[in-house]
Amino acid sequence: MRTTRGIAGLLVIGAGVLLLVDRTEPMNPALARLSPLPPTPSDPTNRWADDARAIRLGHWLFFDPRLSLDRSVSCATCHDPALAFTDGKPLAQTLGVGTRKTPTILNTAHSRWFFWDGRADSLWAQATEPIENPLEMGMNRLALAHRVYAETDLREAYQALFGSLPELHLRNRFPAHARPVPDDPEHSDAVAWKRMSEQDRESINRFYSNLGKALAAYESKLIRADSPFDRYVTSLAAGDAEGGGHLSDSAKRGLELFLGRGSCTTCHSGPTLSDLEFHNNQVPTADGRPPTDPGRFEGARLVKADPFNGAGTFSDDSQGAAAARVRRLKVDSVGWGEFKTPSLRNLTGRAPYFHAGQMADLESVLHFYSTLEGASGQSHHQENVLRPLDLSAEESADLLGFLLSLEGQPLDPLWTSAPPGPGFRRHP
Amino acid sequence: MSGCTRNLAWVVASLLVACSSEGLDPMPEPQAVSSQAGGFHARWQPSVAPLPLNESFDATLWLSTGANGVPIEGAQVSVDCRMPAHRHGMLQEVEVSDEGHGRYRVLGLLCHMPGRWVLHVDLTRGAITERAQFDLVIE
Repeated sequence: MRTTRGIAGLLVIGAGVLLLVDRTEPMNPALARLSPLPPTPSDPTNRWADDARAIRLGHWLFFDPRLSLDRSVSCATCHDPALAFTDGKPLAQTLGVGTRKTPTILNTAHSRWFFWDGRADSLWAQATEPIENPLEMGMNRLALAHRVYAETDLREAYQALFGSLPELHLRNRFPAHARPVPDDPEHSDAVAWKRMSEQDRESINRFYSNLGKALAAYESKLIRADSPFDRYVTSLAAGDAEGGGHLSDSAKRGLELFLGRGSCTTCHSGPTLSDLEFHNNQVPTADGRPPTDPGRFEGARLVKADPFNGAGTFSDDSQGAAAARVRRLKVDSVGWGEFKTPSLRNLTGRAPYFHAGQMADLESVLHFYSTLEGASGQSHHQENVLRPLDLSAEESADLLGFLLSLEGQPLDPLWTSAPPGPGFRRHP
Repeated sequence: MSGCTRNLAWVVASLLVACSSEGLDPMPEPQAVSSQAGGFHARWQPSVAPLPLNESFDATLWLSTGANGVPIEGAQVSVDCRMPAHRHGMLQEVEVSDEGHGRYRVLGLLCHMPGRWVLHVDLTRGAITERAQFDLVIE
């Protein structure tokens, strides 16, 4: 009888557990998928990604204008920490004017593809491109190797982490200026590059990719999470129906629109509030003419051909998931005019918006999605997602309130200014 | 142990199982369809359930000449997913390998947007290509 009473007691407890489970309303799965921002994903293609020495070196290099040919431009020139790591201009402007907006690098370590057209598949591969872009830093990898070799602080910092540099004093093997120039094989840099032996080209590429990996190690620290929205979702999950008071009533209405009638999660899904992929959202061009930027169509071709991609010789995981992703990637005309879905976290300071800075502020962005005024047409792409949302003024304000609730906690000031050197002691 | 005690123990055990399995999605049974021209029968089972949004997953396909027919081996098989409402497909190619006895391994499916998708299985034997298709819902 004692046993029966004991089991009956367990039964009551078990039923109580069930009642508790039944009383807990499951959270809307679409909402639960937006938060929290998970820990920064590892990058197996970069074995230095989590190395504290590489983070220190990358931090130092990021702010060092010696990475540009005329020593005038650093990564931080365009990716200004005071402007959410953008430059605040519609089109990137350094040594020349580019064709697209400088994207933020906040939280960029959560990306699947890099650049607006996804022509790089890792943060380290991305970091190598602007250095050699004539419109950005104007450098070439041989000139950079010679500079690192010649300048003691750079050489010592590089060699302390990556080991010996190539035999750059042998000028007959390592010319002063050289780089691959796929779209202009007659360029003097391209001719000099082609004249080098395959082994020497590989040693320079190894050096150059190492610098990219150090820069990526630093950039992966630029994470802003734990926004009021995240705290709201955490509170809801803990059973607080009010969400801890972390969102205003207006922002809550905006969230409801975002998940519901706005269908924003069709593209802005997942914890970065981006599907990390590419779409043609028909944003008007700056001059009102038909769009001419091929976007993802060209980006897909470029990333598959990139020797620095995840499947390449310089990847530290050339048989892994990143390699499979780039190997399987389609180059499809459907991608013409598509651009990467930007994360909606940390929008403040990133104006103007869209891939060519077509919209001056978030109000203009919302007005476009409300009316599709000036939509550039579907062009080659037949995706059929957009409908005018016909937002009232109050609804626009609510959506804006929600978007502004996605601001993460500020970065540690340590990461937002230049360190005095690669051995800066305050680094963790 | 008395009959009453055994019954109570069974109820408690059932309750505990119910509690512990809450939230777990059992793997679905393979879905089966016939090709549109009726020339082959296809069953497929994804590697995960529910089907994930915007994450890569794999699947197994079984192809035969009918519901209880002969396994189809050595055929040229291609697999793709399309999203009819958006008029686009997946962003990556799928890898299909023949594992013998009518079983094919499908690697690299990725449905990057929520909504209805259609999985196409195209089977080519000689000069004839036939299609079977499955409806998928990604939430």
